[in-house]
Amino acid sequence: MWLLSVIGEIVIYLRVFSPLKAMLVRILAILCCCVYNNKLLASEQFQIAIANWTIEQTQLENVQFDWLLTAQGIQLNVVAETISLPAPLGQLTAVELLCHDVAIRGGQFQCQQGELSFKQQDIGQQTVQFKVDVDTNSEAYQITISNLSLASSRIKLDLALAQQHWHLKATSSKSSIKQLRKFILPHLSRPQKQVLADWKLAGNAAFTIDAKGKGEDLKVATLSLRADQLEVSDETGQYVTEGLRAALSLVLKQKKSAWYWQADLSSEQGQAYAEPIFMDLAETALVLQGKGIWQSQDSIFEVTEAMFKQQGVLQATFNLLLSKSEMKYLNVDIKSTTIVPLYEHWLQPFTVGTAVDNVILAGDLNLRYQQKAQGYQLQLGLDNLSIDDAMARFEFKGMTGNLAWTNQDVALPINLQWQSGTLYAIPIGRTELTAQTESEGLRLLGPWHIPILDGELKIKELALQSPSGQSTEWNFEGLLTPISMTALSQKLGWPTLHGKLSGVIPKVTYKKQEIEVDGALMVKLFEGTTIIHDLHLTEPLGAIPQLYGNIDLISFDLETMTEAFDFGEITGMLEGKVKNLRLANWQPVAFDAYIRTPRNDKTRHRISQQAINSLSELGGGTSGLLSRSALRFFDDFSYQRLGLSCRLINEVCEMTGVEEAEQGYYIVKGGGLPPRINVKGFTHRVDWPVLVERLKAVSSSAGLVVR
Amino acid sequence: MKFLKYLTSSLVTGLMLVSCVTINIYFPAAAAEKAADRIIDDVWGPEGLPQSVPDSGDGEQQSLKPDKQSNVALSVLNWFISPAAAEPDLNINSAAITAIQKKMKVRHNQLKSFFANGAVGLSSQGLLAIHNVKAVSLKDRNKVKGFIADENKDRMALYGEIARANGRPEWKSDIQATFSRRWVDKAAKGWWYQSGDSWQQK
Repeated sequence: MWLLSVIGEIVIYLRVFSPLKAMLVRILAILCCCVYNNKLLASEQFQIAIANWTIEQTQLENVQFDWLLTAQGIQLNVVAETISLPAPLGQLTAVELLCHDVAIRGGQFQCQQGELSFKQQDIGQQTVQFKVDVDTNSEAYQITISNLSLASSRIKLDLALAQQHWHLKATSSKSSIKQLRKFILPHLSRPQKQVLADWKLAGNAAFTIDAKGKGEDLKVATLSLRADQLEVSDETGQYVTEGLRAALSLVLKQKKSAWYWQADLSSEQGQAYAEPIFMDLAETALVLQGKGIWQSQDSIFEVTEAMFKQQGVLQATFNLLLSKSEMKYLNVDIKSTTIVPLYEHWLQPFTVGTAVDNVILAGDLNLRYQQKAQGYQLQLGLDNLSIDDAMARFEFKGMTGNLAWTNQDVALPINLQWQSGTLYAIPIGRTELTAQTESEGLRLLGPWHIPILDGELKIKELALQSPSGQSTEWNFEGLLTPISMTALSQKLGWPTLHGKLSGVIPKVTYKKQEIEVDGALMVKLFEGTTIIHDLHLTEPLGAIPQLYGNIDLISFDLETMTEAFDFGEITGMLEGKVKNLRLANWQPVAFDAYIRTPRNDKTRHRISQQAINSLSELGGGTSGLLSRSALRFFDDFSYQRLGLSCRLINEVCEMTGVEEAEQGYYIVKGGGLPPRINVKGFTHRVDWPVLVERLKAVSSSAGLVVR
Repeated sequence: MKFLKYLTSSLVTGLMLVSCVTINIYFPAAAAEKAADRIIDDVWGPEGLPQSVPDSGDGEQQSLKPDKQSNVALSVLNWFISPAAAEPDLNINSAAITAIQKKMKVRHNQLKSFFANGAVGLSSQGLLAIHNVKAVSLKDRNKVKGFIADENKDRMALYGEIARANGRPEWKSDIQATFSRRWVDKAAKGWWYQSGDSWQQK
């Protein structure tokens, strides 16, 4: 748009030239008349004074022409009190023109060395040098004006006219942008002034213009603009440049009603910020080249071919068509590029606040984006890409393949494989995903096998939707083949657990940053079953992921269990429940749990001396108490039932046993044939972290045997 | 008659008013402030109130207590796990809270200078907000925005976790409001904070 303003200004000034030309012709006529009448030749000086002279739209007041014959030729001195010209020049006062060497031959007039001084309201006092070469026969005019002072810059103008054709060249010296702004401000409309008022501008600029035209039409123009120390800032600081040096070259050609343009913008010094993109041009020099068509009547702006290059970061080619500010098409291609600088400069700024705003990347990426009206297709090519979360939540290595996303109802293939990965310290093996995208969604083309430790998660019927402006939702059917709980618990930093985790998951749903697992996961262990159900996870990649669930422990054989832990033999069955379990950051912070001997358990209930010692150690007591008492002669004791419950809240486990006792509760209640034994707990409120440490010590004690 | 009508309508209105009264569940405001102060002092360093240490409770029970009721059987063992500390009104001792507090403390070292130069201020929602983006060099702008986004994520998680850890998830907004006041009260001189829609400097 600003370009059109420049063109407009040129045409306006050319319009002014028309009455000037008429005036020049008339002055020449007088001059010629005098010369041919030999009046001038007869004397050394000749003077004409005119009080008021109007030629077309030009008016001269108190004008005086002085002709002086010198050894060099004719010297012309014109003094006028005022010359009124059409806008935008307006009134000139104290006009004085001096030409040292006027040459007049037939219809030709030449002044090789002239000086003109005048005062004008906008541009102040001016003293310019000029050269004029006029041939009235062929209507050819050649005018050069130098030293025109505008907004602290010196401007040189060359204007050649031949009948209707004109050629203008303008060159400016370095000019202060602040002064330039002050100079152009009065010429702007109120809305333009308001727009300009929101911006701070400083720095220097210089330009050259080479324009050719016919009549009032501009045909070809070349504009070169150089700016340095450019400081631009909008009111909110969203768009800022500091110490920027930039060069712009623009070529315009008019064909019929369209403008064919070619632009070249480069910058290699200073800094620029367009929220959220920051560029240090000294480090990553920028080149933008392009060509296209501008049809002002239909408000069509087309970039037929363009290249954007940010050194060391990326090189992209693109083309686009805007019609009445609406995008008709846009195609962008980024050739294979190292992802590290691309992420740093172009991706990370847009990901602030998301799970991928602080990741360490490696590998190469290429991108193709195609948009037609509202429909788009995005395709990414990944070449040995790796991503590592700085907060250690996830890591994937050796990602290769093609990713795609579209809002159109045309299916695009997706194929991605990675060599290895981890998700919250859980290792994920090599896998390949084959899917397709369509209408802002994704679906699998076949089952997706994701190896997890020694088992795998088989995902079927994955459906993902991410409509623009709405949050992402997905769901799948899954099957978890047995995974070692020992390895899993170790990876998650829990006390060592045993058994194999598996399950058929009818549906896993992700919606509003929450993952919900329908169905149940199962751990077969110690001849019993652990069923994990009502699982849901909120903010999986948030600051504190919250995992909720309920766990049922069914028919555990204590003999097998205690043997596995080298805890000391206990016989009997065990059942339990963990209700309202909540894990914050993968650590249990709340639950309501109990384990106990089932009410109708008919199995033999014996507890060994070693088990009592282990239980004592777990409780923080001294082991070996039995060995110092009379009971040391017995290997084991009978019990009626055993059990413990813990309601965890605020790092405190509110504990009870199988039965209340005086001053406490029974953890093991003796019964059956003697010798019997009771184990009592006295503390109802137990420090949870201490208990966890002891559980860890017991569960990972030496001599652990898993069977 | 007129008086009776007046009396009846007044009674009905009064009854309606009474029946509309909602009884709020008690939120331990003083304890929440104390908890907030403890966290703020830790995150921001020594400029706030001195750290308060919760009571250590009644200590570990080490003695054996024989079961008088048991004749044949012998009660020989007790559990000696340390009894938990006396319950404060609002508990902030959980692994998740500690972890988040640690992250915020580390981040504060990087944010401190941006509080001081007015780039970053305290929002009225107990979060951080950009106060004057121009005070940040162009190069650091995205970094500061990242800090703010991370800090706000952690703060929201912290408020939610304190509420949940105390078994009252519905207290989150009260905790957030308490923190919001305490962050401002404890802010250093020269820092900016939001009061309603406008920014004020301490």
